Formats: sequence, structure tokens, C-alpha cells
Amino acid sequence: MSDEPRQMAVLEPGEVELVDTEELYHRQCHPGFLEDDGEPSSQLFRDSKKDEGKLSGTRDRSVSAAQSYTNHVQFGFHSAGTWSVTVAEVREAESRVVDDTAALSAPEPCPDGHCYIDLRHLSSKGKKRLRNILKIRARVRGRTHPLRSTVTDPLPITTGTSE
Amino acid sequence: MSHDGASGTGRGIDPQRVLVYFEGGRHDSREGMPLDALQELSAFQGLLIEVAREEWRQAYPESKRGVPSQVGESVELHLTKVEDGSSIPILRRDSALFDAGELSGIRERIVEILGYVTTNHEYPSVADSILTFLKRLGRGLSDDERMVVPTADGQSVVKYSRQHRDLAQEASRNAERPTAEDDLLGSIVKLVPQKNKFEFLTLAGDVVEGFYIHDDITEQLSEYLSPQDESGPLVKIHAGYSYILEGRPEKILNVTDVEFVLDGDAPWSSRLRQLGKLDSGWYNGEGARITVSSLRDAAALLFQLKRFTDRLPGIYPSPGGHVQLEYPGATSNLEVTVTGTGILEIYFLDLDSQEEVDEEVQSIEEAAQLLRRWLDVR
Repeated sequence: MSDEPRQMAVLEPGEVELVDTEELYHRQCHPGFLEDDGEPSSQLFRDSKKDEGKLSGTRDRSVSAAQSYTNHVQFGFHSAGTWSVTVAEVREAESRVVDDTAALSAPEPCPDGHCYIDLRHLSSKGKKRLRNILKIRARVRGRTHPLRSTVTDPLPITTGTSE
Repeated sequence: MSHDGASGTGRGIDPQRVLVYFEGGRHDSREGMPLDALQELSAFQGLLIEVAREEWRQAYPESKRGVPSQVGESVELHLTKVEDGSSIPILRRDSALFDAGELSGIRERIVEILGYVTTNHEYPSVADSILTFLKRLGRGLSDDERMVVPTADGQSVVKYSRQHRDLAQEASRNAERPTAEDDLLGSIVKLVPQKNKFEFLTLAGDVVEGFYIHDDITEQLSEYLSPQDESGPLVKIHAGYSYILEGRPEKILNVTDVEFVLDGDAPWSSRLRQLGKLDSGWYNGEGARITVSSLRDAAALLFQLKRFTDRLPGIYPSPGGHVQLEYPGATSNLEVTVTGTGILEIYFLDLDSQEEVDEEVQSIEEAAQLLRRWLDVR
């Protein structure tokens, strides 16, 4: 893949780009990506194949960092807590946050406040840069939920739950 | 030819007269013969008869009448006395159906069969009738005793022990379980070199009994032995094993190689072990197992870095099966992806200075030198 960024995809009907630069995007951190001392890996913002270039999270206007965490684990996924970045910080990484709850392509079932960071236009290097920018910014903010280390979800050594 | 380290019958024992005798333990230290040995002689008699019958069938393959009863009778033995020195039963054979040469052949066959067991730690493929008596041999022996069976000319002798029986029995039981051959990660927590036996603590926390055939494995295992479970070095053994649940060894049947992976007590060892325990699918259904070579290379890189920094990175698994090291700063992040293939991917970004480096290097030494540039400053 070329290192040159491509144009961002046209949004689908029902999708809305977040414009309030101070609004937070909440992302759940897999336990494997958090060290015992609370330091997260940049892989917290890494997409997997099934993401199809849309890094799932939730928007703060709809659900808080705490509710985002609760909803996520209730779906059966592992999480070591919520980490958050602003829309401005995502733009700094040359991307955008998109609310797709009203779109046909929204995930089924669709979590409250679901949105995504758009990675489809980024090269591998661009994604790496994005992961690192967002990690630096999120780390400065600190984990947004829980604020102290009370999460006990251990690093899974058996097969994790699939989506 | 001799088996199990024997070199001739020794002790001035005449192999023409003595078909079998005992040494070690009670046989050396006391007068007479312990009664347990009688069951060994009985089993030996059974073996002799069945091998004789087998020899007869091979000599007369077209016979439709079956093996005559005289064949068995011709090798029936009577205990006439026990000579001192070790337990030397003097056995008299009354019938002369087999001449000396044929009896010699029968004895050679028995030495060959027992030699197979002592060498391979399993029973050979023989007729069930022979196997029945073969499996009885060794039951009446203590751990420090041996049944000694010479050929008629004394040129070959086998020393059969309780341990040989136990190993062969074990192999026989394991033959009913599915088996696999693979690399296993864990620690050596016990070693019994006299029995070619050890205990292996797997990353899943199972203590698995293991065996090995070749004595040179003893040295390799003892080098990495730790009685303290997880604080011992992590090793990779290449082994055949039986299992009930796939991927979880129940018993290790044979080890052919031992390789060091991680130090026991380095500051990063515990975390790397943790990563080594991750099962396939660890990342919400995705996520490959972290490769042994990634773990080992990550440990090697950290060891190198220790020379010029005390700073420890965050150590993380990556869904691709690699190890990722990260050194965060207030406005920067330095990360190394250790692929375990010889390639290390280094990325550095500082949001204040806008310095960005994205490189691949081909060796741990090269990676350490490059990383030093940022780690020295911190």
C-alpha cells in the first residue's frame, strides 16, 4: 500500500461526522494492551480485519466513559477500562470520528452512542502514526474509567469471546 | 553384545548352566533367594515355553496339527538349588526335544526381546502369548535389583529391571491415548536421572510427568532444573506426548531437544511468561499465540538494553503473535515490534519536535544501538 493518504470515503446516509472538537471518543482497552502499572499500548487504537477500517468506540454525548465500559463487558468482551481522545486529537491524526448509529451499516446489535474513527483512507504508516498520536494524547488524559485501578479483568489465557 | 551396560555374565557364572540369575538389592546382601524371585522364574519359564513354541512354528510352518505339547515340556525347568554370590537358580531341563543348538537359539531370542525393551522402553511387536509373560517380568524386582539373562555362549547378556518394566508398561498404556509431537513451553521442576524421568510445569500450570530415552537429555534438563516452579528458567522442549485434551499434554513420552527461552528472574521474565500463556483467539476471538522466537528475542533485546538503561518498557502482545515493547514519554512514544523472524520494527514519534522514525532492522544488536539514541536521553 502507498504511504500517501487517500481521500476519505464519502459518508453513508445516516452517518454523521462529529464536529464538536472537544467531544470525547471512548475506546475500550483490551487487557492485553494494559500493563500492570496502568500504561496502555498504542495497540489500543489498532484495528483488526473485521473492523474493516472503522475503529469502534462510543461518543461521550450519548454514553459516558463508565457506561461505555459497562455496555462493552455486558456484550461479553474483555476490557481493562475506557480510554478517551477528543475529536480534535483524532483530526490531529488526520482522521475523523463518525456517528453511525442511524446508518444501515451500523453494527448489529448497535451499542448506544456507537461511532468510529475512520481509518479507511490511511496507509499502514498512517495508521501507525494515528495509533501513536492517540496513545500519547489518551495517556496524558489518563484512563477515563475507572479512574483508579479497580478493573480486575485479567489477561485472558483461554480463547476470547468472539463478536 | 550386551544390553543395559552389561559386559558378559561376570562373577564366573557359567552361561551354559545358568539360564537366568539375579543381582543387586536383596540378592547380593542375603543368603538364599527372596520368594519374590520365584514369580520372576515362573514368568521366565512361561516366556521360554512360548518362545520355544514360536521357534517350532517357524521351523514347521506347514504343520496342520498345532504345536505338540512336547515342545513346551522340553523347556520346562525345575529349580534344584540356589547358589550364593547372587541368586543363581540352577534349573534342570528334563526333556531333550530341543538340542543344545536349538535351545541356544531360543535363549538368544529371549535376550533379543528383553534387549528391545531395555533399549526402547516399550514392548516389541510379538505374539500375544509371549507378551503375556513378558509383561509379568520385573514385577518381583525391587528398584535396585536386576534379572540377568545371558545367551548360551555368554557373548550377550541383558539386565532387566523394574524400571524397564514400568517404562514399557507406561508406553503400553499410552498407546491407547492419542499422541502428538510438538514444542512445549514450561519449566523443569523435578529430575530423576536414574529413571530417565522428570516433571514439567507447563505454562497452563499443569505438572506433567515426562520420560526420555536418550541419556544425553539428562544433562540438558539438569542445566535448566529449578525446584521453584515459576521462578525457574523457561525452556522449550521438543517432545512426543499423549493427551486427553488436544494441546494439553497428559504425559510426555520422549524429549529430543531442550532449548532455553527465558531467564527465571529477569525483571521482564514474568510478563513475557504471561504473554506466552495466551491461547489462540486471545484478542476477542482473534489474536495469534505469541511465538517462542518473539519471546526469546524480546528477552534478548531487553538484556542488551539493560547495559545502558534501567528503564523498562511496557511489554504487550500483538494480535500477529509478536511482542511489542513501548517506552512512553510526555509527548512521545517509542515502540519496538519484535517479530521473532530476525526483523524488528522500530517507530518513534515526538509530537513536540515532530520527529518521526519508522525503520526495520535486521538484528537485535542493531535495534539496541538505534534505541539507545532515545533511551539515553530519558
